[in-house]
Amino acid sequence: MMFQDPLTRSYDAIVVGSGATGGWAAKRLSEAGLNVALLEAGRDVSPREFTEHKPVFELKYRNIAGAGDWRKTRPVQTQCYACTEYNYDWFVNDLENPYSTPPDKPFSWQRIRMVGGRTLCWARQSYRLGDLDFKAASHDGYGQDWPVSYKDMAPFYDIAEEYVGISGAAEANDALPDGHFLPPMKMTCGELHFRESVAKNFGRTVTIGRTAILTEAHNGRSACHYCGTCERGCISYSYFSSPFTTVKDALKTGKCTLLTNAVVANVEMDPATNLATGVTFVDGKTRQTKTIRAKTVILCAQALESTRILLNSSSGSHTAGLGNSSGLLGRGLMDHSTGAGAAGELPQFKNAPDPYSGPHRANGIYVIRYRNTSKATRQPNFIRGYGFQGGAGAVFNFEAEGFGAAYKDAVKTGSYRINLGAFGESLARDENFVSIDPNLKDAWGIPALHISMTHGENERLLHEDAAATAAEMLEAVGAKNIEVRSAVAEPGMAIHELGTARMGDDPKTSVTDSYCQLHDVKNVFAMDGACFVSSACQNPTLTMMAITIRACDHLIDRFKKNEI
Amino acid sequence: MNRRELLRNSFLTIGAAAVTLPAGARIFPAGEDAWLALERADWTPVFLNPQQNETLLVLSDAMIPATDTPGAKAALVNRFLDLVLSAEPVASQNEFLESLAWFDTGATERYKAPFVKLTDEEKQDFLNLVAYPHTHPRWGSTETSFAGHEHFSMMKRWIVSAYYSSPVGLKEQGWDGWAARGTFSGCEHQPGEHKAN
Repeated sequence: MMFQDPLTRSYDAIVVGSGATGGWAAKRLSEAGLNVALLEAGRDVSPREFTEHKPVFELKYRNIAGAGDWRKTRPVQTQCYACTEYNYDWFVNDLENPYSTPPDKPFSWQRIRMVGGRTLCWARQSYRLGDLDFKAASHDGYGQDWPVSYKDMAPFYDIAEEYVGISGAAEANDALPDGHFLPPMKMTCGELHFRESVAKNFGRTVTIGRTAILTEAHNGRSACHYCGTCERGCISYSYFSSPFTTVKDALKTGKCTLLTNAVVANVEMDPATNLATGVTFVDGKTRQTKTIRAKTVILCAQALESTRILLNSSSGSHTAGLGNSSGLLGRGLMDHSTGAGAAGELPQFKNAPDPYSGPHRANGIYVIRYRNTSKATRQPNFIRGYGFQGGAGAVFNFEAEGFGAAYKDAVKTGSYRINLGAFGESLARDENFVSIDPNLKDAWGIPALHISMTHGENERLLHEDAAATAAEMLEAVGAKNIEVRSAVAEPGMAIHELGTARMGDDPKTSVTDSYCQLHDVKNVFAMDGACFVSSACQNPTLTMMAITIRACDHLIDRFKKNEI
Repeated sequence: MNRRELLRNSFLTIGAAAVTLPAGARIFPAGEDAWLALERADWTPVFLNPQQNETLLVLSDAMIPATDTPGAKAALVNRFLDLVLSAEPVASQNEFLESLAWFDTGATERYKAPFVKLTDEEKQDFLNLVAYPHTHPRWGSTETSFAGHEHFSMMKRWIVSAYYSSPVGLKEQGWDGWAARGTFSGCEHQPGEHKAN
């Protein structure tokens, strides 16, 4: 085959971003026979970089707080538990990738620019949304319903789950649709006790976390070997990560060209047709500006990055960014509210901690939403709801008092702990927004974002309730020394940025249609978290993938009908 | 996946990656081990002065002594903390040194000798006085907060972090040098019996 410079040809589709949604878009479109250019702002990743089995003492600073240059270059990124001395270079250099916030509205924007994006380090929790979420506005009158229902989305959840491999247990709970699960991971004694106690005392459902980790061989990948440190890679590819699944499949078709270090700046438009002709990007290595052409442009760069590209794409009649005739592009930023919960000891369990070289389950338990799920559970002072993630088990007791031989013994004896942390719905409020900071550019000369977001009164009240109900559930299970947390953490800490280009049927009140196509431009799509109408309280990545698959299948149909 | 399969996958992965290594990737060289630098016979501190290093060595081994398993001295806690402190912010360095120095101040006040010169019994007595959050009556203080305990807690945090992240400390937690873990079996009791213990 003759080599052809990727920049001299025109593609059917440019996909910007190679993470959870970009990988799916590239796979779906190229497997349908379309020619795809997959642009990734960062470099490629190699399994040789995986460090999940490297003992901590082999690191120079053992990831001890404050030490090491990685904290100087990544003061924001190291707020993420997964950004450590092992893998910090997977995360963006904050000095090269600035953004601004109002002084009184901090926002922690945690990002990876690499092939695979945040699927390299994601927490893997995978839950469906249901009509309680898609039609939330109809339930309580706040905001807008999604332009899709669970019936529309279910087939695409099926496709995502069957390919990705989600382990979990069906619970037949109306607040959280079941899916197609691989065998669930096991619960500890304390977790089973908690599940039974919560069901008996409160009628609430505790299930094992539904996670994108294989519990049996699946689609050519091996079952989990329970080393427990997924955020540092996985030599058996047991957790879902796009470079080794969707992107790999896309490249295998021969129809997909991957361009790394391609930092997309803006979408190029033809004013005569009001259609996009491609994108302009900066070569991350040479700093040269280049343009690549295609019939369609699909933004999967991560919610805020996709919106940044659109806001940086003003031209002709699109004076305030591309797709912004509604004035809503950038508005309605959401990130799940976190911070509330409770922790305590379960002294009735005497188990010793699992040895360091024993099996470690990189998963926990999930308490399914129980507030505002029906008239009977409607709350007087807040709308929507929250779920809890947590776990129970014996841990080494480094916090033991004293010193000497007694301290060493106490550490090894351990303590049996239980912990719950809430993920609350973050309401879509138009006063939470991103815009272009006119005075700030990144290292590639691309105008940077200004992010302005606070969690509101509803989130505060919701977390107060979450703290109280977490405590009551721990008390009921017999926990001692219960510590209750009710403060809402800084936005961004859930790493679930959503919204800013929400979907809807009405171009006056939304940015894209239900297939993620901009109302204003027929061949530009925002197929990631940007199109979310509401956040629900479930981890969003599975829904992002299902939305992308649905949108791509619709786009393939349009190609087949020569509508593109 | 059993250990043999894991090992095979590991080799296959590394073999496949050898031809596709991306530019800019940070690869830990095979066998790279920062611990080896701490073990060098010609090791000298880069941050602490010799007296501070000696105090830390003695204090850490008194806090986490050798028992049926090795203690802080064998874990080279002082050497690792010297390295970490060299990269810490100045404020953090100063807090550490202040707390470390307090042990000499306190020992001199009570026993008329710096900490490293105390007998084993005196060290035990001294640490007993400062190890617990309440004001120990034998210290003679009636304040609700006790600087000695705060300095003890500060040093304990550093020493515990260094000890339990060392090869000795990992073995203390059941590390056997092997990475593969097997299968997480969870609660193995019969239904309804898991709260029996």
